[in-house]
Amino acid sequence: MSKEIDISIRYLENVLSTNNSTLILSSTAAVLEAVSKNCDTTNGELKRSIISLLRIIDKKCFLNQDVDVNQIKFSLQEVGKLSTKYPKSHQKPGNEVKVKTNAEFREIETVPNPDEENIDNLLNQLNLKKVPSFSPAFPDIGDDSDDENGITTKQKEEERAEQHGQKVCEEEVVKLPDGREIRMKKTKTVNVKQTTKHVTISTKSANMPEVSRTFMNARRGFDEDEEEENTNFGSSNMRGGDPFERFRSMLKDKDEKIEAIEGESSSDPGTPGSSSKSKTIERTSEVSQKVSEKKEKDGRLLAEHEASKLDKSNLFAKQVDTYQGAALIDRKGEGSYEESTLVRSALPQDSQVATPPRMHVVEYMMMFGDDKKNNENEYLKGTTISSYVRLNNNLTTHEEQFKKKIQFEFSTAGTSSTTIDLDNLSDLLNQTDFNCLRPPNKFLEDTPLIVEQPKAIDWQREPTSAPPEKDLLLEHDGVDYVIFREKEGKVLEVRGGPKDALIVYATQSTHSSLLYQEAFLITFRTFISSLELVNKLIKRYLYMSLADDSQSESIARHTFSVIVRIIDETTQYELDFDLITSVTSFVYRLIHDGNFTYSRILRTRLLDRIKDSFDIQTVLGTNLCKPRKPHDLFDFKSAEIACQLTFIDSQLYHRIESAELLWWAQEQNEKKSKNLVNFTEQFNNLSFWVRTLIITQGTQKERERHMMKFVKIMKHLREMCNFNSYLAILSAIMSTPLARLEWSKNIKDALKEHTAVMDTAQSYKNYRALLQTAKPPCVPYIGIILQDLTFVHAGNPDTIPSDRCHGAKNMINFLKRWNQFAILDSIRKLKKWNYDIKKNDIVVQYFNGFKDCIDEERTWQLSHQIKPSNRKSKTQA
Amino acid sequence: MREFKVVVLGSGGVGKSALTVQFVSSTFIEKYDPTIEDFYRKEIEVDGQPSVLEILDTAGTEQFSSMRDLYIKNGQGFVVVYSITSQQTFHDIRNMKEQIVRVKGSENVPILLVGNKCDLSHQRQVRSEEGLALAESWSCPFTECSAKNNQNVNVTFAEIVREMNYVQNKSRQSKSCCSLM
Repeated sequence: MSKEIDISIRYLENVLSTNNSTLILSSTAAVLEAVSKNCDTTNGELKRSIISLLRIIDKKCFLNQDVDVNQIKFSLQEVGKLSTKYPKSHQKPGNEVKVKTNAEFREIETVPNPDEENIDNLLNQLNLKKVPSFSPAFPDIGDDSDDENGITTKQKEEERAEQHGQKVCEEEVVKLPDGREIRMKKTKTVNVKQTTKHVTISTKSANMPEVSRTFMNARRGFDEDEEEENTNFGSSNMRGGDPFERFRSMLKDKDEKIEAIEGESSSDPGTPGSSSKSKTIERTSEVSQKVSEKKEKDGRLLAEHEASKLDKSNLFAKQVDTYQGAALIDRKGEGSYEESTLVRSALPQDSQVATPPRMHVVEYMMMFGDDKKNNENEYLKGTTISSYVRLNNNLTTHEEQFKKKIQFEFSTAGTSSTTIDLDNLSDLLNQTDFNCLRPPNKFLEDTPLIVEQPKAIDWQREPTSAPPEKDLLLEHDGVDYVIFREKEGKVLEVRGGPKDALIVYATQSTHSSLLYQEAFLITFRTFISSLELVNKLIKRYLYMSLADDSQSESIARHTFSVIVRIIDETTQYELDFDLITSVTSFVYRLIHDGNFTYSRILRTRLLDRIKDSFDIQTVLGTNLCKPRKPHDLFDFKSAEIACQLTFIDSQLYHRIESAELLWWAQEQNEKKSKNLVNFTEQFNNLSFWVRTLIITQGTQKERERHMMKFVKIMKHLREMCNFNSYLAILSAIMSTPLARLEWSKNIKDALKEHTAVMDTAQSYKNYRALLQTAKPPCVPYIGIILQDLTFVHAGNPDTIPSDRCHGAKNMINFLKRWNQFAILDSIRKLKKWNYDIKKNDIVVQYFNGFKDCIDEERTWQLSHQIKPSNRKSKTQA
Repeated sequence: MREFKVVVLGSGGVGKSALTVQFVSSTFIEKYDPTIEDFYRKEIEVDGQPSVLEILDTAGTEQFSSMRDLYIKNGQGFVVVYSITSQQTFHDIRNMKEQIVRVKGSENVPILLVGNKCDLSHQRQVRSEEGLALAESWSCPFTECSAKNNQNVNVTFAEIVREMNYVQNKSRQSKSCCSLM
């Protein structure tokens, strides 16, 4: 039996006694992985034994049913026995077409394969990748004077600054046959800096040919640092803080190596004679480019433009190689890659820019979707990459931001990329290309087209010839059944259709747009439950995976990726007995079909969702013990309080799933929208906590001091774009019991800039405008989002009226879903950003979950005590 | 033209949003967008006098109890809605008048009590007499309507306009009579 299987099985046996579901499930996953790697996974007997083991474990852990532990043990022994009986057959690679387990072939290869997934190739490709030069198209302002003899001067400046940093850390651990270890570490840091500046000045006059002069200026910097360290695993207790201690331990390591090794305990179940090499890479890169253009005629300035672009990328990757002697037996890696782009351009004051049209995400995306022949990357921009449009008050600058983050994994046991659409690392790198950025001025020129919504809608209908018993789910292509919006002969987006057609259309690999797929995944819960959808998709997957043609295979893959995505986003409420049973039995089926890779991916995702427990007490710090001496508000800086409020808010905000918001707009079920309820409760609690702190102060001076403090905190919150806490505090300050009291002019003036934000007039025009100017990361006020969703739900029918689609009934009205998607997608995008704040336990402790507050009645009483009401006296008179 | 700010209050699920939607968008609109500035505005003619209503509907945000003060503060007239099919929603609004009066700091506040969902008479839990009795104790008008069937919807909003006109005139009169004295 393979060592790996043996260890994993024995570990699971031990874990069984703990009765800890999470532990048992992850250990089971380890057994599954070990078996799929080391055994002949085509063997029916072995597969059956694995399925029965999973069945019984799932019954116990996923579904919390009573199971005899001896039964598990028996099953486990059976798997162990059979895995010894059927080891991986090296001679018959043809058997493993479906599963990409080609570890052993790579082992034999000596020539490095450029396509091989390892960290060095990844880095090489990244280093080859160059940020393309930025050339925004400035509008050419025509010369309006009649003077033909004047001298025109055009000056163009291009500046480019690049800064790349790379830190490679290699660590080698050699396990000696007696179980002891030697550890070696090598760190290499490289920093490169480069700036270039090009200036071109061309002069032209009527009777002279054009003269151009170019200046160039470049600077480079290079800096390298290498550090080597040999340490012994046993002496890991050395303190990093003491340089002498570290120095001594290094010396000791060299001089008394043998002795040090003996000090190592042999509890680690390391494989004798094995060694592992791990390599971590951190790479950051920043390229900023600035282009400016100036046109003069006879010293008179005709036009001046400026635009800049900042590209940043961040890679963090880790790879672990395991060697047995000199042979590589396993390679695993994971990491994340993040890229962001910021384009800013100054618009000429005199260019014809009308009032900015209100941009809806959908409109924004339709702009890209409008021209489908357009580059695919352009299309991607609106869907997978966060994009924000910001137009400031005087419309002199335009800014666009793009951000993308990808998590990936690779291993010799086959690719399992976390970003499902990306098959491998090289694809991943190609996908992150930002070559085609639309120049902002063109963007504005295009906007009138978007504002003009198609009024006459032409329906495209399905052929009526389809026999009623026909199952759409088994069709390759659903396009014929989907109703589209059309404008001037051009097919725009999906307008509606029967449920199954919409599902098929979302899972097919051709025709359907990424934008639609995204909208479908976000909004499907408004017309079909997750359980029903998953069951339909499983059926579709199975049907497609049975066919031999490549189109069916591609659809099957696509369908599978959709299933994984749905599982990834299921809410705790949805993870009931039926859904878990559906998914686990699908896992068994995948094993039965020999597809261990898929079965493992799916099982891991399901496990992650079930494990995903969340403790609100930890976030709010109510489980922390109280300090001896209680703190007060003035012990902390306003900025720090704002930071900690934001820390709490953003954690609660990130928990909210789109599904919860959709459900809330429909049925306001607190059980279904748990995270949303937590978030709104936090809002209310903070508001009442602030009221209490102000109104319970004994003197006017103290009340004003507290009031002023909160105004300062609010200012910080607004700067941080935390509109949740910002409005919660504002609602407290503006609440009648507080607002009716007398306040100093100082406070009244300070409040002026804030009170307008809460004006409910014109559908919260002021707040919406403020939110538009916000730069992520941001926590929005969720109330308005809920209100918008509620009204979109109330105002749009779920199905298209049958008289509008040739009498067909039950056609899902997808326009309603587009509207919901437009609102939800902006939320989802904001969730991709995170604040860089560290939790400060002392401050969070001081908040004490905002529980220490008086109720509304008491607030009113205190308010009337401070300033008696003249209402009653008036009515009496 | 006169402009009034009307706040629609009531528990979740009483059909407030449906009521507002029915009122502000009597015609079928292809692109329905509640985020636009004038979505909640509508012109209405009552007793030969045109005025503009700006509706603030709290639907979807009932959970934000800390915001209720602000909603009330912003409004001039109040439409308090319950569902005739749910005793609970009727119970929820019992002390709404007191809240409004407290925030506005005046007894003379235009309020209208509305029992919605009267199309579901077979599921009725709140009798018309109960609604009427509460309205009497609040000394305000009372209607029953159905947003779903567009029954009495415009009448409801016309009624609150009348009430606002009435209260405005009354306070003006009392002021002028005070100054006379």
